[in-house]
Amino acid sequence: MSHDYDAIIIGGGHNGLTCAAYLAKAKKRVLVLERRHVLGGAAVSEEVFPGFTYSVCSYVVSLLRPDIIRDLDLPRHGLDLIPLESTFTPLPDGNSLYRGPDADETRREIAKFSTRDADTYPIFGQAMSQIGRIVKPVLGMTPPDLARPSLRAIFDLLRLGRRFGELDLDARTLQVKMMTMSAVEFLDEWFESDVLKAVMSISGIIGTFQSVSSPGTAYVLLHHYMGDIDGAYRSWGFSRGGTGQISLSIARAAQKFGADIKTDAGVARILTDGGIARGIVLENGDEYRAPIVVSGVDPHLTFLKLVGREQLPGAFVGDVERFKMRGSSGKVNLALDGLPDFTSRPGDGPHLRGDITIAPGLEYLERAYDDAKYGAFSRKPFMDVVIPTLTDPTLAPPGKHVMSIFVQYAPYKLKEGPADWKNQRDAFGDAVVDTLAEYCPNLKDLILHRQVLTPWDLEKEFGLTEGNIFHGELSLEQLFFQRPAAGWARYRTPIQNLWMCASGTHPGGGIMSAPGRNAAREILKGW
Amino acid sequence: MATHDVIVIGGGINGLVAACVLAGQKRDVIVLERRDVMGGIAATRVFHPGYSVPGLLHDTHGLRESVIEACGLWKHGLTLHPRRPFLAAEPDGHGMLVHADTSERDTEAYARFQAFLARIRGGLAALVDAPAPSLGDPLRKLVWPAFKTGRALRRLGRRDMMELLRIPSMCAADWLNDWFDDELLKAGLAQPALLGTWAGPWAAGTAANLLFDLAFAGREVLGGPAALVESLVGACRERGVTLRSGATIASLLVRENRVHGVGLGNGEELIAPAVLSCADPKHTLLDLVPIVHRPPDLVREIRNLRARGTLAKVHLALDAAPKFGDREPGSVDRIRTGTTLDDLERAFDAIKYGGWSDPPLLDINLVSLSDPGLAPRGHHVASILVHFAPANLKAGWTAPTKDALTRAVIEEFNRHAPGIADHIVAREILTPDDLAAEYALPTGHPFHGEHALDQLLSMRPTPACAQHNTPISGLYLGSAGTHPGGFSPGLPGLMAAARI
Repeated sequence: MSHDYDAIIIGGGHNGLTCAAYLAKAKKRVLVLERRHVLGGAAVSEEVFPGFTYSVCSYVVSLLRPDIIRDLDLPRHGLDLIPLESTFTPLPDGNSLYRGPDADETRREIAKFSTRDADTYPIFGQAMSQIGRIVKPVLGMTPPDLARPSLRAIFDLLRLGRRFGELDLDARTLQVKMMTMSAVEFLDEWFESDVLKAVMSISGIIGTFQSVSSPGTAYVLLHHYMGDIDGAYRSWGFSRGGTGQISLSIARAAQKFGADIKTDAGVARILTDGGIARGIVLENGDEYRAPIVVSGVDPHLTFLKLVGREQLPGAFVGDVERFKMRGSSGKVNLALDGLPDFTSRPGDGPHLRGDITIAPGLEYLERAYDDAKYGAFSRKPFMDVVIPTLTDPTLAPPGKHVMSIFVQYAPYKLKEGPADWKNQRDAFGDAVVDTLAEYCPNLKDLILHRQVLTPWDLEKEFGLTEGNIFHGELSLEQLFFQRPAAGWARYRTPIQNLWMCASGTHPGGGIMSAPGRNAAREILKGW
Repeated sequence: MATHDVIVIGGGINGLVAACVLAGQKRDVIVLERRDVMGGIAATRVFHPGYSVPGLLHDTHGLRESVIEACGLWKHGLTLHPRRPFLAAEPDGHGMLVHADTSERDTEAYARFQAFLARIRGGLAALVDAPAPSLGDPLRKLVWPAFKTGRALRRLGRRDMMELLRIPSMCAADWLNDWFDDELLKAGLAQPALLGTWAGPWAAGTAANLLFDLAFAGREVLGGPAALVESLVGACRERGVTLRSGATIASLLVRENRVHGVGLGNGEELIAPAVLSCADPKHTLLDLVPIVHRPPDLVREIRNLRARGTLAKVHLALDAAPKFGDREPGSVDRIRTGTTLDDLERAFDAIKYGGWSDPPLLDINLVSLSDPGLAPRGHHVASILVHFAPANLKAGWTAPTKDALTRAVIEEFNRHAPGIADHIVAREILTPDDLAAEYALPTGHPFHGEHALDQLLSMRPTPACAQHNTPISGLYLGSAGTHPGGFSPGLPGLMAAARI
């Protein structure tokens, strides 16, 4: 039977597009199908209110693999990353902590809270970057299958082992601690200032349903230290035009290599026949057949909805069902009439151009988590705020700004059930704005428009099951050779010719495109 | 100046096991115990004239055959009996009896769960019964133990092996939710995962604690921890171990990075080429080693060992047996409170902010039911572990706060066994501060270090000391603060002795 396409990719998010681009680059005829009217999935820019363009979901980038940028020549296709260099933490008592590119200034700022910490800070950064360099190559590798150890798996393990073997005892200890400790305990070994520990620990919980004192979160901390833009470690960036531009640049690269991309093309079902994937059926009933089908949506959606339980081995269905999604965060996007004025650092300045973090103390973060554990959004949430218009004025009319607020915790499963988010959405938005206004009193007067995205909205609008932004928790038992299930971490699935290429596979979420590229590599191996 | 082959510091279970094993190899061994009796926290405690508890902790089911054999305990009166069921209690309700092999609800899932545990026991034993691999070894030395462990795991079959790799980093709540529907059963089963941790059931890594506790569920020592101590003391005496109580250690005698004895509080010096400390690692390395001999790296590492006490003890003398719901008084002796996993989590929440859990989370052992000699005729003793009473209580441990916690515990007990509050003859509370002062536990932690993923195996108590040795030659560590921790009484002591 002849096909129009060699491979069909479900979902036009950045991973699906990356996989498509690599397959197309290898001269395969590829079709990408996106359910929404725009490409990008959760890495998307949209003009939600006239004149105001938002990075609707994910809003900063750090882990996008440099080799992928090179391979796909993304800058030629419109990728332009702007460094994001500072973190500003206002405190309720009128004090604040600012960490920026100037090491001396950062030192002085930290010394306000602890001179010892100010001394330790650069040493810590070096230690983390060192571990980051060791762990980073793991991001690009296909996890070994421990369930069916082959010579190849043993070889892979030995290679990993050798990397570990090259370290001295201190570095090995640090690495083991990183993989097993909580962010707070890990930072406790280095720092004493509550404020510094709080703001540093939040990297460990973004997108997870864990507290900063829950073991395993130190690893996620590392995840955020591995970011590099243009080779500079630990730097974060904005994408000019919003994060959607990243997806679009990858899409253009894919198209240049010959891939076809269709939007408004929601996939209803994956066609299987005798345990082999044959193609897909769209929501409008159209059928596309191809020898390879690649899913760029999360494991729950892929297997429980698009494939169907009855087509899969029972044990695997069990594994997918217990793969934890557990959305824990929401997003509030504001259109502003001017710049917010922080009590602790009035006026405009570099502090507004980086991350603005509302994480005034460890107890604050614990209480935020405690609310969520029992099924309510945090009354005083942790927030990560950016104002991208200060570095990229194209996103709003002159003099106006957009503000992106990442909010945690917002549990998908409310006490009253997920559907009750409909009723609680406004209260959630109010809690966010009220809390932020405690630090910048002029905020409320500036708000022109407000978009509130709860985990329930993320599921409905973006197809993220339970609103999990990473397609599954980044907890230790859901990483590497167990992501999304033991024995199925090599991008293959129990359905022959059906592959996975998104954040629900190794190495997980964030705009890094590594799953998409790794999957393409595995697919092409057998071709 | 007396000379011995080995000096053992601390006459708790680990110290006695180590001494007994070493003496069995014809060495001259002396055990130095600070308190007036041997046994440490496992010793019998008379808390009111006529009323006593057989040790502070309740469980002895982790005792390994290897310890019993190495010390020849069968000859010294050790008797094991099947593990008794516990009651997952409900206030004013019927509750549920959970036996080692059956439960009153979720029966089928529980049977499958126990079958799974029975299958993996061997694989787990391979991990815990072997000395922890050294993190500092060159790779080629790590390959062989890794291969052996891998092979032991492979024997479990694919499915069970992958499960065993998955569970340890999980939270207890997720793991139990995988298996069970019944909230009460899950809450009852989860409690041991929290013993001596700074974590609730939703904290990652707690499944590992639960796994160890459940997988080693062997038989119990008749007479509790105190009976084990008694048997060990008998074995030690037979093998010629010198047991000396009331001996405080002032400092270790160290010369050129080599230990050669200990100095006692009374100025006396004892000489030996090897010293095995079964006192907690922090105390040993930060207090007993003279300051000039403390390696700075080790000091930093050992300071980071987390041993935050979260456990209080309440002992009650009762003139009647408590009645739980509609059950016969005296029909159950082990009772756990908390009816949902969230109850347990809320109990933990309190300590994050420097308070104790309210209501307190209780593990009650009516010790006099199986051993009537612990109380006068017709009377009873309730030994109560109170989870989540922090050493660093914000309000401080004072007479009023101690009294307030005792009252809260009694009230919670009374909620489950109505009327029992009127039958209290005498009571005692031991806060983490009291435990620290009386039993020399670091901030009152019964295991000398929290059971957490980063403090087990090759990391316990620090990577440099995880094989029971220290950078100071001749000085060894053998307390629960070393591998494999407090899950199995005497096993760290046995391993330390093997190392010597």
